[in-house]
Amino acid sequence: MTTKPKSKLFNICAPIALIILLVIVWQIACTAFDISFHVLPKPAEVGRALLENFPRTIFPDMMASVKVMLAGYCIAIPLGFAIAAFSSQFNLAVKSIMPVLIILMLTPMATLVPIFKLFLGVDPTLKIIIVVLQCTPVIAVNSLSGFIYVPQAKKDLMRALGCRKWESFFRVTVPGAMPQIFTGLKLGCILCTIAAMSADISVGQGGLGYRIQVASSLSATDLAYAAIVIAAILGVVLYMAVSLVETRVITWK
Amino acid sequence: MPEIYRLTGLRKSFANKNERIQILNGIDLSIEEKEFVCIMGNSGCGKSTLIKIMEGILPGDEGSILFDGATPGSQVSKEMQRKFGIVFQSDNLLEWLSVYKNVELPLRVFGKKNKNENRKKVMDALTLVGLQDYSDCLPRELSGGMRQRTSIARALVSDPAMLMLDQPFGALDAITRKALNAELLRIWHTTQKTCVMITNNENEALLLGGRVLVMSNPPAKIIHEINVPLTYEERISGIALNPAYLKLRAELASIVRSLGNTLQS
Repeated sequence: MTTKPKSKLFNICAPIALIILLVIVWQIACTAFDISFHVLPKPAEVGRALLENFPRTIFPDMMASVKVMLAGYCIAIPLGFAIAAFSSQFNLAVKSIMPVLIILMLTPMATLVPIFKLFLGVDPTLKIIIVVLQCTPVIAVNSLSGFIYVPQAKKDLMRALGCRKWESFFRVTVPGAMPQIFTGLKLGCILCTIAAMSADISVGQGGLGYRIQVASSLSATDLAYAAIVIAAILGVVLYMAVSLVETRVITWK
Repeated sequence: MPEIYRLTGLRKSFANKNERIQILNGIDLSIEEKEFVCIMGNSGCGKSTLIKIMEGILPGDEGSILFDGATPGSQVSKEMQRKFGIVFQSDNLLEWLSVYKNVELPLRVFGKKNKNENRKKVMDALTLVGLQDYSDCLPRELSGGMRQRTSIARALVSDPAMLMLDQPFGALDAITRKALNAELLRIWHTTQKTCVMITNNENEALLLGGRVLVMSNPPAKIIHEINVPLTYEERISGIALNPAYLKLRAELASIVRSLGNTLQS
């Protein structure tokens, strides 16, 4: 038991050390092989571009992306959950909806942007719609596969207690499906970051994806990389936040 | 003692791919209040199906049930289900709830909201099975025997009319099983509940049961009934050397042997 705090610290330090090592290798490689700034700027240059541009461009772009990601994700969670909860109650619904959800999950939603633009123009809600469309299926599929697998013994227990359908759903099905629900939520936040970035690129109108595109077309590769770093950090923070909630919720594993 | 439960002509079949298989073929049994009845049979003979129909988890095809003065036909109603305390084959605890919350579950489902009253009932049940100090533990933190004790506490917390046990100790090691059998005997003696237990173990059946019913292979009927005229004191004090017990055990063993092991190969 006494080794636990030490191993926790180790778990945090090990990946950070690897990242620092990679950055050093990147810096040395750029100098040693004389890599052009336009192909791959040195980490120091990226860092400088990040600091210089942060207040003026990167911060507002980051906030724009954060808004799209969070709004989309927060709509996708109850939506995916509701689709899964509703269809899990009917055998026919499970059989018919599961393949459709899987197809939707695998469709890259950014490809739909040009079509959506026809209906919606470049409305800012378009980006949120893209994120919702990309995240909802994966959350629904995973929750649904958790909901439809309830061990027979647990069903017997609920029946023996004379539970109504909805009562056994909330008392047994949902808690039992928590691990799968969180798998869906975590995959959802990965897809959410990707969807938000591709929405920025295709729709424009600000956002980190848009900044990356503009900066690289102006050959400001240091700024493009700086925006990529921030986008990656956003994704990681969201993922870690969801994982933290998971460890708080699933205490019995 | 007055009769509390009677089953007449219970039949049950299951549909296989292309035929119906008759599992229970006219089961008649009668259980008196405060009695401990053990039901034995080969594996696959429909013991679990029988007890599931008796507690109302499964419907029967034909037959009538008389329970607690009412006749619910071949299926037990929801109201009546709540008069059974059920101990399942696996401990069947909800792994995300603490021991306390697991035991409290029936009270919550039955809509009992009085916190102090519930607390007293839960703690009484936990004390009865000797787990009063483990109420905050999660099921995974307990041993298999302790989990099954929790399950017994959960079955007893709502003060049921009958305690139904479906091979409750089948998954436990021999030493724990022996300890829990003694524990169950004591619980039965203190609570004076009517108990029905499915088992595949002759020693267990004779230690606990006032009567042992033996089922045939499917289509199953009850083909033997053995009375076990041992007092509680005789049962708790070295039953293994009791001549009456040894005689019954030889009798029961020969019956079980005569059934053969007819598991479909």
